[in-house]
Amino acid sequence: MPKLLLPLIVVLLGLLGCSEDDSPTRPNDFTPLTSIEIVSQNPSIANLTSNQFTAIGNFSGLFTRDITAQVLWESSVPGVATISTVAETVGRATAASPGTTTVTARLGDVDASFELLVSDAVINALAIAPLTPSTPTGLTTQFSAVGTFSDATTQDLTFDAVWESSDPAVATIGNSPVDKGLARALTAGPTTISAAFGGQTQSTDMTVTDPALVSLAIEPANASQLSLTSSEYSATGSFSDGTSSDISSQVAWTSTNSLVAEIDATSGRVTTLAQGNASIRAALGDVSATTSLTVTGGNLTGIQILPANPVLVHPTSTLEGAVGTTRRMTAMGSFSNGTQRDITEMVTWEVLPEGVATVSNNGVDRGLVSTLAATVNPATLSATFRTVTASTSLSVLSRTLASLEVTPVDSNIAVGTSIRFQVTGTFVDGPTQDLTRDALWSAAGTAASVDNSSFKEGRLRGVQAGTATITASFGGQTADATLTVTSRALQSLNIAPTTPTTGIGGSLQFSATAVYTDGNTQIVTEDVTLSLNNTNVAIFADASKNPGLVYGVNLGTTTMTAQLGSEPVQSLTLNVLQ
Amino acid sequence: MMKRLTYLMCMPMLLLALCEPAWSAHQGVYLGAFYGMTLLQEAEARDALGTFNLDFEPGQAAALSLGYDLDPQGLLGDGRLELEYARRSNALDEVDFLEGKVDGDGDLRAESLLLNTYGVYRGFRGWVPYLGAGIGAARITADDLQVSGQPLADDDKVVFAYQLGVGVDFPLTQSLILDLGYRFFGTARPEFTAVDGSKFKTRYLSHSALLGLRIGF
Repeated sequence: MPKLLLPLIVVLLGLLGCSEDDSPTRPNDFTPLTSIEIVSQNPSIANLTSNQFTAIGNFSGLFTRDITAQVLWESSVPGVATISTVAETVGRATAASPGTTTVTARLGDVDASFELLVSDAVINALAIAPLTPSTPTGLTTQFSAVGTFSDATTQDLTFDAVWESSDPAVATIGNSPVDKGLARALTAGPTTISAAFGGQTQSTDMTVTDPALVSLAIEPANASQLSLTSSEYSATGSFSDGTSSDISSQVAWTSTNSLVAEIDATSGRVTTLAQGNASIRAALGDVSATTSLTVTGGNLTGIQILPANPVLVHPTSTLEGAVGTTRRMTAMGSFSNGTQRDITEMVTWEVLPEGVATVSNNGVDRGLVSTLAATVNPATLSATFRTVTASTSLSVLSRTLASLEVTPVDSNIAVGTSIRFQVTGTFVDGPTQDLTRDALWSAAGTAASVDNSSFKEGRLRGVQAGTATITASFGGQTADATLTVTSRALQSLNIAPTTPTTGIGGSLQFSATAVYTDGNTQIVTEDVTLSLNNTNVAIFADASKNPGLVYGVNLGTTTMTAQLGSEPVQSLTLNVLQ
Repeated sequence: MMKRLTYLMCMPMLLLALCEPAWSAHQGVYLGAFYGMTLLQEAEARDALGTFNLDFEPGQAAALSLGYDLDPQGLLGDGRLELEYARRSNALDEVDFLEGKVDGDGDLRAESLLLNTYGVYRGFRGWVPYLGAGIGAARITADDLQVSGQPLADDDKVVFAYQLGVGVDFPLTQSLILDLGYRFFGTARPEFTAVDGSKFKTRYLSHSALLGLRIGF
């Protein structure tokens, strides 16, 4: 064993030999300060104006640092100019009368001096900038004021001027030491900004515009998605006034790799085409955001239409309003990673010749075949995705409906759960056909209610304890069944499989079984609320069409929870492995 | 430089696992003495003002051990247990702050007492590689550490210590063994009191190459 471990230890120790690359954050207060340099905005200033001094410390020739706030400031002749030691204005000298003073900065035994001349010049003109700015709500504009004096000098008077906004509701402007001349845009509209000093005044119009888009965030971020699936992306814009809103329909969506994923430029709906990587970008004006998309699950290699060679009946009837029958078709895609999954919603369906049956390519009914008329020769039903296609024969027979039969005939469920009934039509001279979707379902009494949502045909829900007669009607025929709804107390909810594992593109069918205190058990997969906390690892196929069916998306672990009504939540861990 | 020196120290280990032992294994008590070089990894120190990095020069290491060579056929297998006292010392070279690097002075010392266990493999002639680990305690001493000639700390702390060791024994006789080994030695972060009363924590991770003799009784 040591022989095998030796190289491993060497590698481990080699890795441990790597030093961290953490940049230091602590200032150096050990190396002695050896000199100070005073930097001045102006070598001389006009009377009644101010000047900011900065002290730069040199530490033994190794580095310099701004020590304006640390040094002790002094003015040798306060009557000429005083110098502030207050935190907000430290180092700022204010002229009191014409003359000369020496400004000193001292820290410990190190000091520096600057001779400041205060002139007797008076202001002749004041200029402010910028002129006529436009500022989006929530943002700021820094104004500056420059004075031209009688001795032909100019001097920054931003700090010394008194600023004003004519409409503070539109924009405010600061007059405190920390925000002199800083305008804050509050509400869209016009205002006038003015500065005044020494009897001179200058002003300019300022327009506050609607909030500007500052940044975009795309959801989902850095997602993994199976090939031949679609999803909606959204874009949230953050604006200069601090607000945010969904602007998904306003941005322009693009995909950097259209061979891997396409995205509708306006809706943000992504359709994945092949395994690989792409970036999804949203842009509005100069603001954009990008997120990565990893498409997994292999590339489509084939399609199988199920059921193969369907035979449907178009009933003959003397009743008015006789209608055809329907059948939901499924397109199963085979992928290059050896997996198969339902791609019914992704393919384009077609029946030829026309007039025999229609097949829907819309919404939840995609793949739904509806008969129009009987045909001697079978029609061809095809499913196509890009260059991959499959076809099967579709036969439509003309028969007279003889009878209906509902199964199960007699059933018992708990209150708050549901059951699926099926109605089979028997036609004169055959065949029989599942007419669950085509029949009209009703429940007599108050014990049960009919679920009329898509993919829930024949589903009855137990509302309260009691007995209900369930009736299916089609083509003038009816059939009944009895449903007993019982109040039961849940003892446990069992989710299977208990240690779920699948691969990328692989599928797992979960089932939920309720165990009641009276000893009864019931499959309640359709009644539980299932959720997955990491859809980059696994997703539900389609809660309506295939309840409890999960596909693996990418390597990792996710937690699945199941809850029946308000009962305690059950959790288990699902692994997606290579 | 640290990475290169570590690789250089470890390379001989790879080359040594080639020969067969010449002597039968010693069983019983032994005494060991070791001397060598130690490299202290650059240490990130942290106090209330932020982080700064301490960079050390290569230093010396010495160790004494009192152990017991196990019966190769025994329940615990072929190996040894020992109590080791070691001392490592590295001079402070530079200290890296926000503004850059400045000179440092003083030493960082580690005196440790560890309980080590080693497993050996006797499949080679004349060479016996071993692999082991140990835990114990160490006194880490910041001996007059200075930055730019200004005092930083003069303090010590006792902390938890651990060690990984790998090396090769060269049996000279049945009871006299030349031991060439590498030790990765680390501790929990000691917290020192600086001369101004503030506290800072630092890291101690070292790589040592030791040559020693073990005498069995």
